[in-house]
Amino acid sequence: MQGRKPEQVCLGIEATADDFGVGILDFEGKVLSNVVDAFVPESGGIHPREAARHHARVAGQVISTAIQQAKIQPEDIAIVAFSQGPGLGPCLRTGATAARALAAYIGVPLVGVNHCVAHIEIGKLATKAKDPVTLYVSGGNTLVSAFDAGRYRVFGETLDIAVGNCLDVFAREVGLRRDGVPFGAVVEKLGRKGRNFLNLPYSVKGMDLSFSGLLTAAITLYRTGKHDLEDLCYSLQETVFSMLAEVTERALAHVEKREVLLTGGVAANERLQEMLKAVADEHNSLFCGVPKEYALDNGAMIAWTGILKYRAGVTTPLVDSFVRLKWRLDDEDALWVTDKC
Amino acid sequence: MDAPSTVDDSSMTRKISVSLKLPSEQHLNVLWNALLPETKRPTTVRSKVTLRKKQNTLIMQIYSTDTSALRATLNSYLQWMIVVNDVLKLMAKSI
Repeated sequence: MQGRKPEQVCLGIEATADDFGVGILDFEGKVLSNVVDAFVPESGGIHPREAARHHARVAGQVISTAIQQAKIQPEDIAIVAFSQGPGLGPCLRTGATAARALAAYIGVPLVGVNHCVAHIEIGKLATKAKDPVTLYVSGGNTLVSAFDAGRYRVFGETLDIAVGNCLDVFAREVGLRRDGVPFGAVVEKLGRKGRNFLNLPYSVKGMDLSFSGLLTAAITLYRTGKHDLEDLCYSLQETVFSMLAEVTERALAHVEKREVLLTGGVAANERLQEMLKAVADEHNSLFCGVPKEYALDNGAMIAWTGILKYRAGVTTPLVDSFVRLKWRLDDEDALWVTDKC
Repeated sequence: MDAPSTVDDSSMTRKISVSLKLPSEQHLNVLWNALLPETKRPTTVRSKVTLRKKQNTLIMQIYSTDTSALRATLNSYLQWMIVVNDVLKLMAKSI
């Protein structure tokens, strides 16, 4: 940091799945721009190669828009950060290629960032949380984490599919339409009208979770034709969110932190927020909900984590900047985090 | 581990060579740095990619066990080259 001009910034590229995002932050954590272009498949889920093709098509434009919105010049960029993993291989490689090209052209260090760590760090920045228990829920990840002994530790996680994937697949299987909003929001809206709770498998296994069985059970109930879709959405949400709340509460009781951070795409769900807030209140902890723009996949979170890593002396040599598809949250020393912040 | 194990080079019977002439040595080095890590960690055991520099030209050779793998690998690299080209065009406009 010493000797750097105050206007110097980090550009972060996020490309782990369906979103191609570019964020630019200054070294104080001020977000100068945060541009996301999402790949929306015509039908079905995300096909990795189709998503990568989308990212390749929009990369130049998204980077250009982010630079313009940030009102900077490329020479103000002090570091280029990119999501190195975990994620879909073709998407990660497209983002990494763009990041390497930028860093090589400008002649600045490259910093590979763990996508899951980035969700926690931007959550801390956005909510001013210091040392939270984090519930990170999205279409690709479901985990409960807290910092301990130099790393973000995983206290509980899904054993099969992620909770966002569970809600998305259910919505598709029962014929719901997106209408410009995520499937999770459609399920949430219908769930609010549900009145009758239907029993679904409640699969908490120790501190871990399983969603695939209850997804099948919910779809099977729908196909009997005996139940209202509103009741099914209500029951599915109540069941999966109760599972998440239980595991988060146990982690909170164990580590005795004073904050609960909710992040990831599913964090936008108001019913889940309500449950997590109740858990936090019960333990005299503060509930910290990450604003939607930073809870969803975005480039700002990659840029901010890149800054934190760079300040801690961590950079990624170009030759070692290959992507890490299965890079776990707890596989990285969080050198920039001290025990009390 | 993310990287697959290797297969015997003698089974890589399909081959394609792509020569790309760049406008400057800087452009060549940017493309080289952007693509090289991908050649070190191939996504499949069915293809192998080598890169060489010759003056301002990047020479890429792809060796594959079958035509499908050859085509898929070529498509991936061409797509990444387009990304690099877009970034270079953007930088040229800005700097």
